[in-house]
Amino acid sequence: MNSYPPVHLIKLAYCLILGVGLGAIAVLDYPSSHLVFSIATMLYSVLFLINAMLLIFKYKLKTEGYLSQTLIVSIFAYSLLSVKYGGALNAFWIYFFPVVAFFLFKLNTAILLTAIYIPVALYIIIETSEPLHQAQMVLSFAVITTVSLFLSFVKTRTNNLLEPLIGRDLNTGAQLEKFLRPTLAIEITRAEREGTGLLLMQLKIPFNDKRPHKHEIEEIVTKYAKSISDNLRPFDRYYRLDKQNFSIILPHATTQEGTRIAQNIIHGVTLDNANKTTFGLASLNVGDTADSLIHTAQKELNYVSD
Amino acid sequence: MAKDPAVSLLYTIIAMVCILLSISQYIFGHYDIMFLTMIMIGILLPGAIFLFLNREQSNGKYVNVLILISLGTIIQYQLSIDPDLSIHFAFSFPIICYFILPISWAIQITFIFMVLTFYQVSTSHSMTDSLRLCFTYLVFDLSSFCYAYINTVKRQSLLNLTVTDYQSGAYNNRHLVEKLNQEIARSAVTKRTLSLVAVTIEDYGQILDIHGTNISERLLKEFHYTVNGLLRAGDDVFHDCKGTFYILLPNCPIEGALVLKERLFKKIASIQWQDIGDIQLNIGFATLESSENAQQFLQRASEHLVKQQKTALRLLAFDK
Repeated sequence: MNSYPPVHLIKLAYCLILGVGLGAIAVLDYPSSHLVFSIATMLYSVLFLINAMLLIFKYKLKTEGYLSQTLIVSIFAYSLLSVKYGGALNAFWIYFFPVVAFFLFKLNTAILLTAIYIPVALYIIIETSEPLHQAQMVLSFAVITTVSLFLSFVKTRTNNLLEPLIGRDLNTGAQLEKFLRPTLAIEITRAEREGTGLLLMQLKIPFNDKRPHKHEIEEIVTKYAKSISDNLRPFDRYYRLDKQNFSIILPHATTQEGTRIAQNIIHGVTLDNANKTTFGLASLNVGDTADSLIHTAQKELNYVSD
Repeated sequence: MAKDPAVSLLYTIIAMVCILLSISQYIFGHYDIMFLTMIMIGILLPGAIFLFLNREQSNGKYVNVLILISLGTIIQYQLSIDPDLSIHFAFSFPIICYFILPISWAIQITFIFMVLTFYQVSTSHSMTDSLRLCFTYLVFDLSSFCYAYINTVKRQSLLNLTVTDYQSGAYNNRHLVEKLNQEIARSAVTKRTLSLVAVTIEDYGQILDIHGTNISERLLKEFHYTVNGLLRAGDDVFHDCKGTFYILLPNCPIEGALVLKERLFKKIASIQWQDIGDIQLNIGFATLESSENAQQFLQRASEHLVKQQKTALRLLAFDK
């Protein structure tokens, strides 16, 4: 359990508590309400428990985007079902819809979904509650929707402000591609001014599958990034390119040193096909620019022998 | 990236909702509940005004805690009068807390509120109904917590990845430490000098107070742009978000730093800064010594800057 990141643990705890809680509600509902409603609650509970199991075994569904859609549709259906079978005590499920919509979906989609749900929520409120409670429920629903909207809006605004200020890739710790050319141009000027060497290394990762899945790419690329980071000097910099490749700037390095670093990177990657990794080395020559160095390094891509 | 204006707007919206609610409670003759709702309005509206006008952000969170504890207490009292009616308002309390307060504070307040709500529900409903209500409430509270927690974690990881200070456009403090370590390691390999210049805009705090955030941020951006124009390729500018800039000069001896200092003084004196007029600078610098680490190097440059500031103040007093 120690290897799980906090967000993963929170998701796991949430699914477990939701699964157990809904299961308990289904058992409580069985004698007092309709069998269909009790079964629906139990199915809902099982859905969360299955998801918890998948999280425990770190299994990631290739169609995980559909889980959000399934969840929002099921809350929609469940709250409507509560009108027919559940009564006033189950009308509280209308409060879940805006929270889940704004949590799982992008701001615009969530606003659209909530706008569609508002008439349904009003219908549920009118059908299940007496007039004094109706006003209280409408206003509580309005407050919860507003706060969810605010949370989502603040999240979107923060992301929009922070994203241009980010320098690194979240998963690999590599610098972003947009910084490669400007940094390389600066390094070329520095090397020429100081009269020292400069080496650019391109690294192309081999994939067994011709069209690998996003998770598979991330897993493999992260392993490479760790090996690269372990084998570089503190002042070398590596960049993630096209999501699947890396570019490494090695100031004060010769081609021999570059080849040795490439061999160490391959040894550091615990993958069967690591020896199929191709490397391209470009050493700074008179008249070289950032573009010409990148072009040369890409042209020189080849296997590295021990 | 202050959240106070959004919180102020939220309090106003909740107060408006409460006004509508108190009208409906009046129509239905629930005068005791209506009185409590009006107290809520009396707490929310001054809170919204205070947060809108408040400029010292550290006070804001204490005011928010007071407001939310008062709201929570009133909701609990309403629950003891009419649990069926007030439980709906209790459902909105956790998500409000998670939006407004820092997550650790919100957890404590919502936990106490949840325990009290469970107690109130269990004393006013049958066993089955209270269990069902408690489970539903627990699940809703957890949903709000997960939403807020995952948002906080994501924002923190994004913040950790940022390298640029949004006020000035220069690199931020975190990147300064990282870059210093890189350049010190590089200097050890190449045996070349490394200098660090610390520049502070005199009375930046006062400029911020008098001219406000927009003009101060524009000053920082223009200042960064001006400094950048004086540097070589490979030199970097950093800003600590408090008006102090650091300029890292690889392969530059102390004489080079001195030349840059004079050029900077001359350039700044020639510029008329819009709305602000003239600005004065204090500059400190240091050149890397053998076996010095990033922290020591940075501290030495900062100490030299403080010394320069004190000397400038003494000279000013002597002039008078």
